[in-house]
Amino acid sequence: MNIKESAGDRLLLIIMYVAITVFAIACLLPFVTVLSSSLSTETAIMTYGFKVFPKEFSLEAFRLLLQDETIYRSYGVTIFITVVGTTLAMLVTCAMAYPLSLRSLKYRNYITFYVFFTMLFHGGLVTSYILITKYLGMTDTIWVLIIPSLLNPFNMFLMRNFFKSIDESLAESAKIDGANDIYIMFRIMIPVSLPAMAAISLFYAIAFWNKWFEAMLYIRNENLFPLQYLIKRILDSADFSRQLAQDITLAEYATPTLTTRMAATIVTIGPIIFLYPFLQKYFVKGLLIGSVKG
Amino acid sequence: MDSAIPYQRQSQKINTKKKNSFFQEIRKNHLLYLLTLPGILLIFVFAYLPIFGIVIAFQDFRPIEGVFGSPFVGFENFRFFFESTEIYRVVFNTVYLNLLFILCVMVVSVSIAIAFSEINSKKFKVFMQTIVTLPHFLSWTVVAMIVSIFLPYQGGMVNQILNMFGNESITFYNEAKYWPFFLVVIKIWHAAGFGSIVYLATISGINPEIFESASIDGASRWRKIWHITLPMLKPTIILLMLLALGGIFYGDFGMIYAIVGPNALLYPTTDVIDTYVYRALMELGNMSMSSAVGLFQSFVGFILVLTVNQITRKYSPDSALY
Amino acid sequence: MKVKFRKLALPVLALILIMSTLLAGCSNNTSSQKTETTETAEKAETTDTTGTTETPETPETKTPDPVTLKFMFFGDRQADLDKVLAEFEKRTKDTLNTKIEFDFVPGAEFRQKQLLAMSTGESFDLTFDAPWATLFNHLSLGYYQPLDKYFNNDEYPGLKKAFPAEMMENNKVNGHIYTIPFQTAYSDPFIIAIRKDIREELGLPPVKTMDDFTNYLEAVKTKHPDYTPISIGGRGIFRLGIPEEKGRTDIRLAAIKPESFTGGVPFSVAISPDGKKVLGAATIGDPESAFANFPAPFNSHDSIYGHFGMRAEYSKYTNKDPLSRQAVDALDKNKTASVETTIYNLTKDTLNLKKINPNAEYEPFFYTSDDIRDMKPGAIRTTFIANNSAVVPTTSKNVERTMKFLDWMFSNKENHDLIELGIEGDHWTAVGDDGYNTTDNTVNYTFQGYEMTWNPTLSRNNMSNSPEMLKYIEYAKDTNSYYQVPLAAFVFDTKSVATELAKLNPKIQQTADILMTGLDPKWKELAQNSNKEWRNLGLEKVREEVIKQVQAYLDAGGK
Repeated sequence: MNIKESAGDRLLLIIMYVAITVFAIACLLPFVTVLSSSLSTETAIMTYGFKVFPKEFSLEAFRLLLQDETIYRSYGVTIFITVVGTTLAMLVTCAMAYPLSLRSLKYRNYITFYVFFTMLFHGGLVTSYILITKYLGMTDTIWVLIIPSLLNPFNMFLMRNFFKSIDESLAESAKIDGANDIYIMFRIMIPVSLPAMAAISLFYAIAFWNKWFEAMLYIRNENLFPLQYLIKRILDSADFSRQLAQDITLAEYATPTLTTRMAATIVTIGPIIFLYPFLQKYFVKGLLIGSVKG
Repeated sequence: MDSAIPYQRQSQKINTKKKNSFFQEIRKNHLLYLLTLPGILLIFVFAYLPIFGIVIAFQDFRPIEGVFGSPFVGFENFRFFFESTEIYRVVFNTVYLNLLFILCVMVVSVSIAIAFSEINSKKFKVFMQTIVTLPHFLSWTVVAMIVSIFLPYQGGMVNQILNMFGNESITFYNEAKYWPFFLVVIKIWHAAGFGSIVYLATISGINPEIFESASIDGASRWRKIWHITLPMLKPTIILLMLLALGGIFYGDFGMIYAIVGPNALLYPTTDVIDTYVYRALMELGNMSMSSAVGLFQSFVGFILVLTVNQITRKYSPDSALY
Repeated sequence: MKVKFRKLALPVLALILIMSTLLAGCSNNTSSQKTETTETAEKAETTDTTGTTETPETPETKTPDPVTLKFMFFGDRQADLDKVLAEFEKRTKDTLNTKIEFDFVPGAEFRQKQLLAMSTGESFDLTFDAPWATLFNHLSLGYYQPLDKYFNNDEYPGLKKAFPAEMMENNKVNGHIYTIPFQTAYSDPFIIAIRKDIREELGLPPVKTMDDFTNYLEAVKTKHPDYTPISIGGRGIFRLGIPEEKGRTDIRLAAIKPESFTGGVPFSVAISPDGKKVLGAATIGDPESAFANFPAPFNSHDSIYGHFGMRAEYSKYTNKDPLSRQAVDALDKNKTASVETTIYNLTKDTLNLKKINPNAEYEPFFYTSDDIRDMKPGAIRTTFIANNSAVVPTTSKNVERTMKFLDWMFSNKENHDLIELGIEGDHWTAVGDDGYNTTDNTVNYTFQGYEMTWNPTLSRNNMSNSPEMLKYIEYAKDTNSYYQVPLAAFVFDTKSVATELAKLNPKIQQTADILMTGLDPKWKELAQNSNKEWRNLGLEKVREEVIKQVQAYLDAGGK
């Protein structure tokens, strides 16, 4: 009987390996094409189209993209808002998610609804714009890129879910030992939820890393432009000029080359790819051996 | 003991008990409520304060006069959408495509997460896990370019393969019937890898002892997945579905506009509420009308979530949203 | 209890951290305001000192107070913009004493940000708008300042010279000047670029007529089945077969949707011979009766809209999936035998072509009009309204200083060149009085002239154009090359039919896309069926409104 199950188990495992490999190839190939296009000359793309290996190698696209000094400053801005933003966001989010995960909290459903309602109903850009520019005076500050985004309801709900799945006995035994709620949250719940913390931190980090819309609306000071905003400005001109082409022909509207667009994608993705592998060690089954027993 | 107390005092006591219970609750759990305070404040300032902007949907909004000065026009802004002949088609497409997206992506995401949790080879995992998330980071414009490697009539890879086997080329970009399929495939490719992260994290949180005892009992891999992993994922799945339900009337504008664009031949199966409204208002630039439709989309999603949540409360109260 | 105390510290710290960042975000405004006031104080000081160290000034040349103008435009911020602005400030320190802050917004978000800024009463001084954007809508809502007093006014000699009275007259809306019109020419004529190398390979003579063109396409299709005889995008061969009102005053045609002057619905409007009464308005797919009282030869549906039939015929020569932008982009340019472009763009397109195939060459085929090809006067159709313009929002507090700046810029070539082309020798080199050549550094400063600087008398020609093209560019710059269409100054107010237009525009565009690309051989049926649908969506209401408004326009003396 053992051998039979083992065979069945192994077959399933092989199927999983194969499926993942196939899917991964489908994910990798287009990405490699983007990478190779960014390392190609524009003419090669115009002549041969997108290929997996560049027919004519060139670093021109990256040179064009990175030659503007402001891009290095914007890297700094983006790193700052990502690090500070993710840290603060995790604090605020966990602080909200944990109480809402406790069945004993009487008004948690009201608070949950209070948060959830805003996921669906928004007042629109106009009132947000007025609020931020006129009443809060946050224009041209780096904080406008951080503070409004510190609590993402979606992430908060996910975090609440993770907290809910933790065995209640853990909190109860700590309470018996005399710990208060805050101690429990910081010293017990969070360490036990490392996979969740890793996942949600990743989500916030990506969101902060990609921030550009608030910069477009509220920031005019070049020293405060985040990376993505700079890149978006370059890339958007192509889309817009195509749209315009339906009605008029703007003769000298400079369209960024395809290779620049690809280079921009690589420049933006790069760091995230380096971050994720470090977090993967938390996504291991059986991570919690020992911690629950303690 | 209470029964000995005269009636009036009893009811008084109940009233004060109620008032007391509010403060009692706050006192009892004051630290917990304190923890929620920053979040509550943030949401109040950045989400609730601006929320009265919803009135724009009912106004003839004039930017110079602002929200307080623009005239009120009732439901006029909703007319263009509800009186259009397209409403049934775009609403159907929106809901149909969204349902397909939600379900298919979820199935694939969960499968990927389970596969990764079963696979032991560390090197394989780290490498593959990162790769499957890559598509998520490609902007839809770039994805549209990649799609154009495959689908054009002239020189598209799919047609080249078809020709190799003696078949005629198909003008995919002119045929609406293929596109729900294409869009779903593209969506899965784009979202499933990244979406598996949440499920991976959930699985990682499962007490490994449960798996151990199941193994001792002789359960096969498949049985363990079916009877342990999947049920443990259920709360997360339900949560994500409930949240997705709220947006079910919101079409994936970014994706569809980038990939399909202004391709009238594909509208029958790909035109969603958002792309339709975008085209309808492009020349008019009417903010009021677009916020009217947005309000409608939010409202429907809201009612849906309320309803489904109530049902969830009955059968699986722990998984309900609130 | 020990536990309690210690562990309270950490979270309390966290809370304090969160609260303080919230406050930091809010209080930043006051600190930035402080720096602003100190800056302006400093500026005022420096002005004063320069004032006193110079020789005593006569009242007319007194240096004005410093001011910072805020301009909001779309597109890419030029890398060397600050360099050029610094030069500008250096040259005009004593005369204008103006600083300019440019806010370049990505194109797709421009409209939104413009509206948002105005809705909060934010003061900015110059921005972009155009008839094909939101100009008429915004004007009817009163967003922009009337600028009548700054033009044809001796106090603004630069503006007076660069924007002659006749040009401004044509750009008036409802009797007032609201725009600063930017153009180098009123129109950029469409041509078809024929692949000279392919044509010669096929042994065909140069393409001069539509018959020549059809022969060419047919030859390409037969001899090179894998080539695309003519590649088109979403609007097909744009001006194929489009009738023109040349010289007439009794009809204004809107043969395609982009030519609509009535809110997006392409109504062609007929006027009585004496120019006093509206005879009717008809559009795509209307029954013959709607055209009955139109002046000949336009008294039938197909006389105006029959060009869609031509497009359906030519569809056998085009790429099969023109409606997908990506598919069109993916076409092999080397295997494309002809493509539509414009006079201004031909040189650039040829350069790009040569990058792929050094032996390839484009030659122009003036398919719309022999008269344009022969550079006859009065051949190009126009309303004389500029395609692009700048406007001053009513929220601006520096209208006069803004107009003074523009006056300075348009007063002579030197000033104009600085802003439009950059620093001479660095970003461009002069070729005579009227031309310029690019340099290696041009890529760092390619200012979007159509947003702020284009002008027929002051803008230089790019000498990298071929001599033949330069001739045509001069021809296009000459006002005499144009004829004006009737109802040129008429502006349709969309307010009363906004809902109907919102319902109609997407449907009309949908049908138009298919008609323009000729993808449906049964084009007439499609047009007529669509027309019936449009009637259900309120077409008649819009038609009535159009007739009403045009009649009012005529009654008020409009032409």
